[in-house]
Amino acid sequence: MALIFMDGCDQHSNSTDVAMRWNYSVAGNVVQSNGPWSEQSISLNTRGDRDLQTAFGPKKEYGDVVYTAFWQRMGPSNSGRRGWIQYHNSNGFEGGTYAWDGFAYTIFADNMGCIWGHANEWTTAPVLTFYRWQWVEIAFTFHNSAGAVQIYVDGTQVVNETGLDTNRDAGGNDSLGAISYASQGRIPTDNADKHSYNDVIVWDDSGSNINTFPLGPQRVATLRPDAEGTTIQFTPQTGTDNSAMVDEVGGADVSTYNESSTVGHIDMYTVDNLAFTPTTVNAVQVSAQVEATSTTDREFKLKADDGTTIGASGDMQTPNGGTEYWQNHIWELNPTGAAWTETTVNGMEIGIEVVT
Amino acid sequence: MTLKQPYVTPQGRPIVEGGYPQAGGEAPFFDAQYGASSADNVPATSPTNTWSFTGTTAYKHLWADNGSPGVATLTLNSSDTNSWLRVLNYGFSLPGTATLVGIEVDVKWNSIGTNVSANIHVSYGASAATLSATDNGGAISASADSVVTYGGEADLWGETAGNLATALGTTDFGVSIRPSTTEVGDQTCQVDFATVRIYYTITAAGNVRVDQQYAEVLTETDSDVRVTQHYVELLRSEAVTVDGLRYQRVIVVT
Repeated sequence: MALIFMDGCDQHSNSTDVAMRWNYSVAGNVVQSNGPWSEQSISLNTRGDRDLQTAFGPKKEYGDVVYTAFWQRMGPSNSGRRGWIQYHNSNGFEGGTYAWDGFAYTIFADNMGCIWGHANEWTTAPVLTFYRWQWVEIAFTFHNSAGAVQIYVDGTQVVNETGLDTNRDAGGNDSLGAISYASQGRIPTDNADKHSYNDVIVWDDSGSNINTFPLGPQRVATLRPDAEGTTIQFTPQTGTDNSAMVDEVGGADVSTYNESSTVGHIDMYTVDNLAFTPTTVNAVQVSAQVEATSTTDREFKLKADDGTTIGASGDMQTPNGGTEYWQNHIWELNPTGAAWTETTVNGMEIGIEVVT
Repeated sequence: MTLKQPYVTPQGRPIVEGGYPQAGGEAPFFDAQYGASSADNVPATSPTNTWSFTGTTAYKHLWADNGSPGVATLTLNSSDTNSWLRVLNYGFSLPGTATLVGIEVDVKWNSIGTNVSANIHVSYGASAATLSATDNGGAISASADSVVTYGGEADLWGETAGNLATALGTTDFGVSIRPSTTEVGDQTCQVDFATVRIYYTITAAGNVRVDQQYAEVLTETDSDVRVTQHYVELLRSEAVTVDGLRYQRVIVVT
């Protein structure tokens, strides 16, 4: 495992969609087309913490490090809100909290880096500009005495602390399993003033790829089905164009679909081309919203075809009938085992296979 | 005999055929401890899953001879109301999503004498002592032994599907048979075998439905090029004369 979580925030059309994808999400999240490169982002308009929470597994134990990176955009100085990043141990308490205050012009406020029980120790006061997207990367080592934190903003290291207690909870719940991305402060009336996140990723130092820190600025492109792939065996909800049944934006839209009850049936779709030329392609995540139409659980695999090899995820199980749920699988290398390229991404097919 | 695997009839109704009771592969057996009058066909090792005779005092005799006119012969007196030939332990196993809808019993037998009828129940519970509410018995042919079917694919013998489904896999589930005693005096039937077939429906497995699917591509991107100031430097030469000497000087305009 290296890359653990990735959400380009482009597949959400409303707060319901956001709540379906994230482990914990309160109402009030909105989706805006204000992200970097005019892509979608998730904007928060509540003052509670844990607005967006992603769980990861296996949980991190003492001495383990977990990385996260994201684009964030602050509202104006008079909004009084802050961005929060919180780490949660197995008891739900924060192992560490980082906030940047909307009252502070151009620099992170003093209360950022308020690692529990420790004074703020900025290496460099980072530049922060309102209404501007900035790339933040955080390395967090979980430990009750040898914890550590490093923070980079737009490629500049602004925090480098060691010897910390990064497990706030005194109850000995010594595992870490979730990160929250949140906002706090007055509720802005204008969507443009809300604290926003985009292209959120979580990774660790295991595996052979995407295991270093910092990564440098990353961009997540969302590619949706645009035509039938090599194999089409599912039955479309209507018509004959299977790819058109699953290409919509918005997870809560289940009005069109493809389905099959036959073990071994496969549906593959080609996808949009990248709209830009990337420097490097680091990973491809295939996501599908899948359900079983009865109370009998079914199993399936997500698939990716790089033109040479068809890769498959492990067996995934649908939840109980009638409940849609996102399932994801990440290919850090293409199924053939080589690094992804713009060419292989643009030529790939994604799909699904019925297992049981 | 090996139990048949579940299969689906052309009508789409799954059935399981239990065949003979599980008794080490051969059937029928009877257990000598219940008073076999002949040991000719009692297996060397008495099987645990066998015919059993519940009578204590009223049965006349029970024997086996491997063929016509039957393996087990039951002769009951009109005064006997407690004696049964019980064929047990069919070893059924219903799929987890199945609902039992019917039980069918085939008995190959004949009677000695005319006007002999039979009582037939499915039975379960401790020592198979619980008889189904419905007695599906009837007249038994007095001619050569033949297979007669009792119950059917929609017949639960007066019991609830849940009770029977729970009992199916136990060693005490089976069929209780005896010649009826409506006639005065002894009544005799000869039994070759009793097979049980269960009918069940399975909740159809749902489709795997894909509502949406997409790929996200993680790419490296170059940082923005940020311009905070913009100015021009112009380097030019200008000739000046100082004290009769001519110099070149540099002026920088920003």
